This record gives sequence, structure tokens and C-alpha cells, in this order.
Amino acid sequence: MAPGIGSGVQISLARGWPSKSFDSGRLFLWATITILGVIILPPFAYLLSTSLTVEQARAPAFFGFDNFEAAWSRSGFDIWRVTLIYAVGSSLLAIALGGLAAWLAARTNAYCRGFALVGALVSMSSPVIVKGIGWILLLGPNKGVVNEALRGLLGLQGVPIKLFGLGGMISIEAILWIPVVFLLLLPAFSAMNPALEEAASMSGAGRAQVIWRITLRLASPALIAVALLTFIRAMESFEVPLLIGSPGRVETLTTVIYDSIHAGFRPRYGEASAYAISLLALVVIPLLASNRLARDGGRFATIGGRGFQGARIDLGGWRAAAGVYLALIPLALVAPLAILFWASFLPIYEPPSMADFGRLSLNNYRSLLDRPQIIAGMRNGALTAGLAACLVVAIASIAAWLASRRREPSRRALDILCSLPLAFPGIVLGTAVLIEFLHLRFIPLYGTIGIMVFAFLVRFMPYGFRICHASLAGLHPELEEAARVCGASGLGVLSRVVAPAIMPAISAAWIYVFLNSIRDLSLPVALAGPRNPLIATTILDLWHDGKIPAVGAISILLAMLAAFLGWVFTWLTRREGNAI
Amino acid sequence: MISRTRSWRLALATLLISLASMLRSPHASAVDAETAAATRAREEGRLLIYTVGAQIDPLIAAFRAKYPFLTVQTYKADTVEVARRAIEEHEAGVDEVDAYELNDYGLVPLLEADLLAPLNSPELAHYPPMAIENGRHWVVMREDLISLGFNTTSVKPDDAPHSNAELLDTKWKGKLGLYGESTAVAHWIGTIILSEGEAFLRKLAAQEPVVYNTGGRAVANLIVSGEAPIVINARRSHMIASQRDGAKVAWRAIGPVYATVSAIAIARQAAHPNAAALFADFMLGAQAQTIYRDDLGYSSMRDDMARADDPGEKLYLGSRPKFDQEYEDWSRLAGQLLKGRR
Repeated sequence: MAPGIGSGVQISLARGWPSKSFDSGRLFLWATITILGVIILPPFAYLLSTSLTVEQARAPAFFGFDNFEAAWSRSGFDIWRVTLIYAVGSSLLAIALGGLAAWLAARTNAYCRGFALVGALVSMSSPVIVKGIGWILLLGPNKGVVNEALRGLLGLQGVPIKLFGLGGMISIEAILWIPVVFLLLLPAFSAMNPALEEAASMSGAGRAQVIWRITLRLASPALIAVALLTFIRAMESFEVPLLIGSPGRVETLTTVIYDSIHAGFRPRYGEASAYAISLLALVVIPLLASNRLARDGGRFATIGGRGFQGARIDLGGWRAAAGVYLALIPLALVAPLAILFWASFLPIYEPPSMADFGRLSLNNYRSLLDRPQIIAGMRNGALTAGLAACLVVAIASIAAWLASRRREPSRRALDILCSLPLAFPGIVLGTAVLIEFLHLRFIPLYGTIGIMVFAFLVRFMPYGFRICHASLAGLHPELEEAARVCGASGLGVLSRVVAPAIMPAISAAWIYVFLNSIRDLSLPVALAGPRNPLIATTILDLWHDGKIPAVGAISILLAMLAAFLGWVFTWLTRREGNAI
Repeated sequence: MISRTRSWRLALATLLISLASMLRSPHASAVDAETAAATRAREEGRLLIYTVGAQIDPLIAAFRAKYPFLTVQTYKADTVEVARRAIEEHEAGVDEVDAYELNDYGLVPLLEADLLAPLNSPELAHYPPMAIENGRHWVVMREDLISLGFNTTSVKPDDAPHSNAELLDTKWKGKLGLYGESTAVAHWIGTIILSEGEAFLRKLAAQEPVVYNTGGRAVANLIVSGEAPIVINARRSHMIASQRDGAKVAWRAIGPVYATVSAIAIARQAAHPNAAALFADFMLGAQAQTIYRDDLGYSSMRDDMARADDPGEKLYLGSRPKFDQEYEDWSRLAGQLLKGRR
């Protein structure tokens, strides 16, 4: 059979591809599997063994399933029900709002397209716990700025917007994930060839029909990948249930598990690990199903051998309304940062009022320079996050390429290895990596920023892999075949054909990993030390000391960094012809 | 033969020397010891402290100012995390930490793992026996008190409850805040049960306090902002520090209060034992304890530094003989009464 759509071409790195004597592509596949195995399996082994190790006070630990039993019995049916409603609700809402924003930004001529991207990136720049407090200060029932304004301006009584409770949890979790959904779907929509939609329109399909039957179908690999990511992360999220759910007496599985870890004098990681393993078992079927979708040859490919002009849909009279939507979404995302921005000029946080204008100063920003830890933390944070992002993108893109182009059964190992860390709770992963490098002293990473880079590499590998994998589903193999026919080597195909074609996805993955590595708190708490301070640990120190204004000042600096990255991303995509 | 005059002179000189040596001790010998320790610490040059880190920066700054020849590094995390990390490091043959500043319950597993050295500080004389661990492996040096914290703009001081009984007034239903981190809630439940009984606790739970699970200092910030106008288990140190920054908040003991304590200890296999000993001396000494008491709002355990505004009855829950079992019971009760668990 001639190579073509769905033919399942074998990619080989050797120039004489397909080689009958020696398949260097297979060697490359196994080398990648080995590298990923070395990176990911040791923490997973720790997770598994911790889940099966039952620790007892003043008695030796033993192997058993008690942690699983405890995790499941502690939660009960009602908490499972609430957790599922919370996870499904927040992921669907995030996909609906973020997906619409991504489609408008990538495929239409709506106003404010660049603003939406920068807003999404800025909103991802500060730790979730800081933003969570920002939301409470904004929407809290007693002195929340928005509720106060609604009561004062409109004369409303009671609590106009109820933050604490399941509805508030779903909304805030969705808002936290909108930028991620936006960022992950943007490349998929950007790389979509409009010829198919035009053909459908020419055949008499209405706009809604085109979107439902063509656009969404073509984007389905990316949509499913994003839906899975948001669902799994919502199942695992504990900041929002802790901050927003607890005051409303709503509990999820993670708050119960979090309590079980922190309730005693020794952290009980067994139940948390058992929960993580259960979650992994729960999501493995949809994960494999989504990979199968993406593997089905060129069904979703829209970038083929023929060039296309990424024409935008003219929204006509709806252009301004779409622009308002694209402006409102980022404004909602950065709202908690706005309250921190206000706080960053005050000696102590007070709700915004005209009376406080006389107290505003730059003292908090000046004081940052007096703390050598902050400068070192900024430098280490940027270096760590940059290195982690480069490594994740490099390894994940190669793994995704091999997983989507090779035909051997062993390619599934790439899917599985890259998906395992999805279920790692941050604190358990941190402990696993700590123990790993304490016992592998011949690898001199302990106590350096190298150990942080490694931990972030493991943590964010699934995201890099999913983003690249979904993007590769839209890239027809015929492009690579054409390059081979013209004499390109395997590496040449990878670097000169594949990489440029999925560059928006690679850039999105890089920025996603970079920003999340900067703001992640769970790993630095376990792994950072006096010789490798990170900006996240500095934020946590200031937070524990109650220095909200100083935290606000750092958050604003990080937001400026994120805005700069947004500008770079826009410039890069424009250079590659995928400008939004 | 010694002349009579010379004999007198010799006797006088001997007497003076004896008197001088009597006058020098014990203070002068303590100074000598400190000087000798400082000399040895200078040769070590470094100090690594594992700490819970709450408000320790002013103490570290003062220590650095006193001993500028030492490079001081800190690792900060919560007590349980610090203890676990120290044990994991030791089991892997990494013994870098020199001193600990932790809650006492975090030091228990370190003692069980034989990671602590006995303290030999001249400052121990100023601490009551209850503050010193039996084997002198740690000394409790400061305590924080937990009771009512409120925003004085949102709740006038006269209107705020003056006793636990007043918390049951129907006007507070749904309006009382509770710092909801699991350890804090369990301790608060224990305090109420011990002081007012379980029946009272159940009535108080029926007031539906709003549980903020955001970290102690974050809850204090919510009091400052007015979002949580009144919190029934607020830390006094947080309220005093906020007052100092200009916040309109107050703290009041409305019944027996429980005390969270922080202790100093040095590592058995410290890489810089003299620097660690110097740090322990400093933290137990008058200068550091004055900073704790006057600047940061804690109570000192030193016998010469009592606070005038300390409440009459304090509960040291961790010292109770069956604390482990009671703690489990209180945690379970917290889940049932405040979180609707089975």
C-alpha cells in the first residue's frame, strides 16, 4: 500500500527509509522509552509502594491495601458525588468559555484577540493560593469588593454573589482553567485549514452546522485532550475546595485526603498515594481512548501537502460583541491580581477606598530589593522554569511524534509513561524525588536547582505530551513523506517540517510549563533549600508572615514577565504565519 | 623569713583574688564560655537552621548582627515537613542541618530517630523545668496564645464576646469565623471540651461557624480586611503584628486559652556544632526573647520575661498524658461537627 492517509507510515531516521536492514527509528523509539522510563518510573514506584505501605505509630510498617480501604471509606459516596459534580462542572465550564475564546481569537476577526492571549498568560503567573485569597477579597460575602459595590450602588441586600459553596467552587476552578484551555486550544484552532469549513458552507451548511460538524470534529483530539486534563486536575485540585469550599461546608475527596495527610504528627502519604493510584485507574480508559482517536491516521489532519491561507471568519455585526467577550474573559481572569495590585502600594491590605489614596507608595517594591533571597529566588526561578520548559518540550514533542507515527505496539509505552505523572499529588511527587536523589548521591542534584528541574520535568511531561500529541493529529503524514521523498533525513524531517508546523503548540507548551513551574508551590516546598531558593518559596515565606502587599508586589512583577512572554509568543506565532 | 608587712600584703592579695574570682562567676565564666564558643564558631563559619519560619526573620537578622562572621542559611517549611525531611536526609547519610526551631511535636520524631543532641546552654537556668525536655534535647522558648480575634471596625470592642458563653448568643449565628486547618481545629475543640464541656461545644457548633481553611496568617489577613470580622481561634501574635502595621484589629482571651509552643534544638550530627550552640544560646537569651515578646507578640518562657497581659489560664494540650488519643478524638469530633463527616 502506498503511504497515504491512514496508511500508518513508519518513520525512520535513516536516510534509506524505510530501511530493511536496520531501522534506526525503532532504536530511537526504544531510546525515548528508556529515557522516559528512567525519568518517570522511580517516582511512580515510590507512589505505588507508598500506597501499599501501611505505617503505624510505634510499630513497623507493613504491606497491604489498608490505605486504599481508608481512602475510600473516609470519603463515602456523598463526597465522591460532590467531587464528580465539581470536576465535571468546572471542566465543562472552562472548556466552553475558554474554547469559545480560543476559537474567536484564532479563527475570527473579533476585536481584542491579542488582549485575550496576554490576559490569559498574565492570569497564570501567580500561585493558585494567592489568587484564591484574591477571589475571597473580591467576592467575599462580608467585605468583598464586588459584593460591597453591588450593595452600595444597587442597594441590594444580603449577599448578592455567593462565593462560598459548590457553585462558587465550580466557577472559580473554571476561571482558573480558562487560560489553560485557551492556551491549549489556540494552536489547534490556529492550525485548522479553513478549506473544509468553506466547502461545507458552499454545500449549504449553516454556520452552526459548520461549527458543530466540521470545526469541533476537527478539533476533537485537542478538545478531548484538554477535557481530560481539566477533569483530572479538577479531581486533584485542593486549593479551591480548601479556600472556597470549606467556608461553605463543601468537601471534596482532596480536602478529606489533605486533612488525612496533615492531621497527624507525621504526614500520612499512604492515603494520598492510594487516592492517586485510584484516580489513575479511573482516568486510564478515557486517556487511552483519546490516544486512539489521535492515532487514527489523518482523520483529523488539516495541515497537508497543499498550502492553505488561514482565512478568518468575518463576524460582521458580531465582531464588537465578540471583542467584548474576549476583553471580559481576561479581565475576569486577572481580577484577583488587580486586588493584589492595589495591595502592593499599601503598608497593609485594606479594601479599595478613596481615603487610602494618600497612603499609596512604592515601598513594597523597594523592599523587594532589600531581600537578597528575592533576587536569588527570581534568578533561580527563571532558570529552573526555563530549563524545565525546554526539556519538557524537547522530550514531549519527540515522544508525541513517535507515539503518533510509529506502528509498533511498544509506542503505547510512550502514552502510558507520559500520562503517569498526571495523577501524582505534588507533595508526594516532591517527597519521591527527594528520596530518589538522596539515595542517588552519585548524581549530584540534591540541594541544587537541578533537582527542581527534574521534578518539574516529571510533573509537566503529561501536559507537554498532550499538547504536542493533539497538534500532531492535525498534521498529515504526507508532509513528512514528501520531505523524505525529497531526500530529507529523519532528523531533518523532524526539525524542518514537523517542528515548524506544530510551533504554536510547542510555544504554548513551553509557556505553560514555564509559568506553572514559576508559580508551583508543592514541589519547591519539598525540594527547595537554602542553596536553591525559588521565587515560589519566597512568596510562601512572605505569605506566612502576612505580607500581602509584598506578595502583591512580587505577583505584579511576575505578571509583567508573563505579559512579556505573551508578546514573545504572539511574535513567534506571527513569524510562523499563525498569528492570532 | 617573710616580714610582717609582706605577710599582710600577701594575705590581702590572696583575699582580693578570691573575691575577684567569686565575683566573676558565674557571669564571667559564661562570658568566657560564649567567647570561646564564638571563636570556635568563627572557624566553622556557617550555620544551617531548619525552621517553621513564622516570624523568624527579625531573630535571624539580630543573630547575624551579633555574629557577622557566620553565614546563616535557613530552610523553612511546616513542622511535619521539616521533621520528615530531616529524617529522610539522615537515613540517606546527609547530615547538613545544625539547629532546629520547630513546634515541640515536630521534635518528637527527631528525638525518636536519635537526631538531637542535649543542650548545654547557660540560659537554661532562666527556664522552668516544664519548658525543658527531660533529656534537655529541646527547650520550649516561646508560646503563642489562641482565642478571639476581631476587626474593630466591623465589631465594636464592647459588642465583641467577652466570654465563651457569649458566643452562643443568636446574633453570632453564621458570623463566627474559625481557622480550619486540621491541627488548629482539633486543638480548639480540645480547649472548648476541657474548659466548657462537650455539650457546650455542640451548642457552639450549632452556631455554624464559617470554617476558613487558608492558613493561620491568611485568616488573620481576612480579619484585617474585615471579610472575617470575628474569628474564635485567632493567634495573638498575628493580631499584635497586624496592629503594629496599622490594622484595626484586637485580640481577647474569652476563656482558658491554649498555647502553641516553639522550641529550639541542635542536631546530634551538626556539621557546625559550635555555631549551632551559639544560635541556641542566642535564641534562649534575653535579646531574642525581647524581640519575640515586644516586637512579635509572643509570650516568652523565660522566668524573667512574663507579659503583663497574659491571661490567667493557659492550656498546654501537648503535655497531657493521653494527648495522642485525645487528639484523635478531637479530630474526629471536628469532622463530625464542623464538616459533616461520618
